[in-house]
Formats: sequence, structure tokens, C-alpha cells
Amino acid sequence: MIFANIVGGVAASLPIVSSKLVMRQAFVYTRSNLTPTILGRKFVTTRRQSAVEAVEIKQKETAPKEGKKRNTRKGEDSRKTYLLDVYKYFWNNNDIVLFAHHNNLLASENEQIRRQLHKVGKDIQIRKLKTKVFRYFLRASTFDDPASKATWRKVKRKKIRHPLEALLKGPTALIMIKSLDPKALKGVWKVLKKQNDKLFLLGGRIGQELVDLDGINKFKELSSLPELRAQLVGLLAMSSGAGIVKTLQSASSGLAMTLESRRNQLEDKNKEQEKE
Amino acid sequence: MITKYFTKIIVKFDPFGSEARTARTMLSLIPPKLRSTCDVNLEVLTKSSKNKPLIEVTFKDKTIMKGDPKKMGMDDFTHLFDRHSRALQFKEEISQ
Repeated sequence: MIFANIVGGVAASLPIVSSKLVMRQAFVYTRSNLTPTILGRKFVTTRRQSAVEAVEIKQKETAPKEGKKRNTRKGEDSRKTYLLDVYKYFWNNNDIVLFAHHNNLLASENEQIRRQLHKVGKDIQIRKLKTKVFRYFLRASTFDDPASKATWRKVKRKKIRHPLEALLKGPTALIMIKSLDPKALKGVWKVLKKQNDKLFLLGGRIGQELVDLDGINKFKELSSLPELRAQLVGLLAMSSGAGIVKTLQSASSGLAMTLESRRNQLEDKNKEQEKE
Repeated sequence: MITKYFTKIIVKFDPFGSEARTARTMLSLIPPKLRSTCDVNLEVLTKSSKNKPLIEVTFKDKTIMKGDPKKMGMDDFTHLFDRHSRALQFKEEISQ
């Protein structure tokens, strides 16, 4: 009878079943009706708006072709896969990524810091990390899909390590600046300096370079890229640079002229041949 | 770790070094309420800096205890500081 119960599934159809058993069966059925997607959605909706947007964009990017499933190490809609996707989005879409240590910040302090950073630049974000998930992400960051099973196998077999892993040994937050702008970095530096030991920088990535505190310090003193370009143009336009411009121009203009004359020659030849 | 009797803390460490874990754990154990009474002096070292990693604590009775986070773990520091903190706690209870 028990066997029939498991196979048949419909407990009510069996003749000798106590009402208790039927109740239990019914309960099991209702629970199994909750699909994992509904359960998994919950944490997505409670995230900050920016992160939710990030995931939506991410999902569009990595949306599996119809009928194809992502072969992920953790569940496809699990928290860890979600975090890895978000971290990948952050890592690839921000030119400056800074690591900061945070110490028992109060909720009000969190909000205050967020507001101050927002004043410096609208695209500056701060996010506290799940350090172990981020450590795995750093190791897998060179692969297309860090959450996939294949990546996990490769990372494990090759024992891949990342130099910035060392910064994740404690409560760590990520501060992200979208463009490669020393001015924004200077603003962030100023905001964090007021926080003293509550929130301080450790190192990070600027462009493609991995830097420590000295590197950050040097970079924030530079002037921004458009300014440097303007300086260069100004220098070349002035009398001392005019010679350089002329010599640089002469090569290309010379080439253009020779090509032009050659074309004329060929055209003349063609005309002569047509006449004959 | 009993942090009640700390009046000053000095922490110097290189985040890329092996001392980072101990030093950062130490910092994260300081509760927000202590900030009004306890002064935290922090220095993040880099490759070019000449200072050595250090954890130093000054207690209410002005005894100073320090150690090298490169050689000592967080457990060692907890033992070291708690021994003195407990003595202070005992004294306080007696005086009441």
C-alpha cells in the first residue's frame, strides 16, 4: 500500500487510509507547488535599485539561448550565482575599483557616506562584499562566466590565485568609479579621510593596473585625461611645437600628393589607350 | 575581547602583508560605542613606508601593551589584553 501511495501519489483514491495521512499528503503537494523561481526571486526584489538594474542588464547579456540552460556550479537562481553575476558586472563596468575596510558602521553612517559619495559623482557606488564569494570571483574573473561549472573546475585544477585576494581578509567594501577620473578619486579620498578608522582605503584596481595605497595617492594627483589632451594640443600649437606638427603633417601630405600624381598618371594612360 | 578599559589603540599594518588578518580583525572588534572614549590611531603601510606593523593598546591605568601582528595571531592578542582587562575589572568590582 505504501508503494502504491508513493507511485500513485493520490492518497484519497486508496481505500484504507487514515485522514491524517491524507492531510499530510495534501500539505506536501501544496509545498511542491511553490516553484523554486518564486522562492529565489525574494532576495532579488529586496536589493538596492542599482543592483537590481545591474542584474537585469546582466541577465539580458547572459540570457541563455532558448532551451539552453546555464551550467552553473551553484543553482542557476541561487544567491551565490546572483552575487557572482553582480560582481562581474561591477568589475567590468567600472574603471576604478577600490577596496576599503569598514568597521561596524551604523546605519546612519552608511547612509551619510553614500550621500557624500553621491555628491562627489553620481556614478560612484559603494557596496559591502561577501568576501569569500568575491575572492572566488577574482580567481575566476578572467573567464567568460565565473559562475559556471567549467570555470570552477579550471580554477581548482590550475590553482589560480589573484593578487588582490590579500585585501579580503576582513570586512571589506567596494567603492566603484565608472570613469578613469582622478578628480572623482580625489573626492572619494576626501570623504574617506573624514571617516578615519571607520572606513579606509586599502588598494584596488585603476584601469587595468592593480595598485596599493601609494598608487592611489599618485593617481589622484594627476589631472584628468581631457585636461592632459588639451595641454598637449596647446603645447603643439605653440611656436616650439609648430615644427613637430609640420614634420608630422609633411609625411602624410607627401604620401597623399604622390598617390594623387600616380592616379593622374594612370588616368592619362587609360585615356591614351582608349584613343588608340 | 574585553575592550571596555582601552583608552588608546595604535594599529599599523600593510593590507597586502600576512599581518593584515590580525590587524583588521582587531579593528573590527572595536564597538562603535567605544569611539567616544577610545582614540584609534591607524596607519596603513605600503611597500615604501619605513614603519613596522604594530598593535599597541593603552589601558585606563596607563599600562601599555604591544605586539607584532606578523608573529602573533588574534587569539594571542585577546589573551594578552584580556588578562590585564580582567585584573582591572576585578579591581573595579572591589572598589564598588
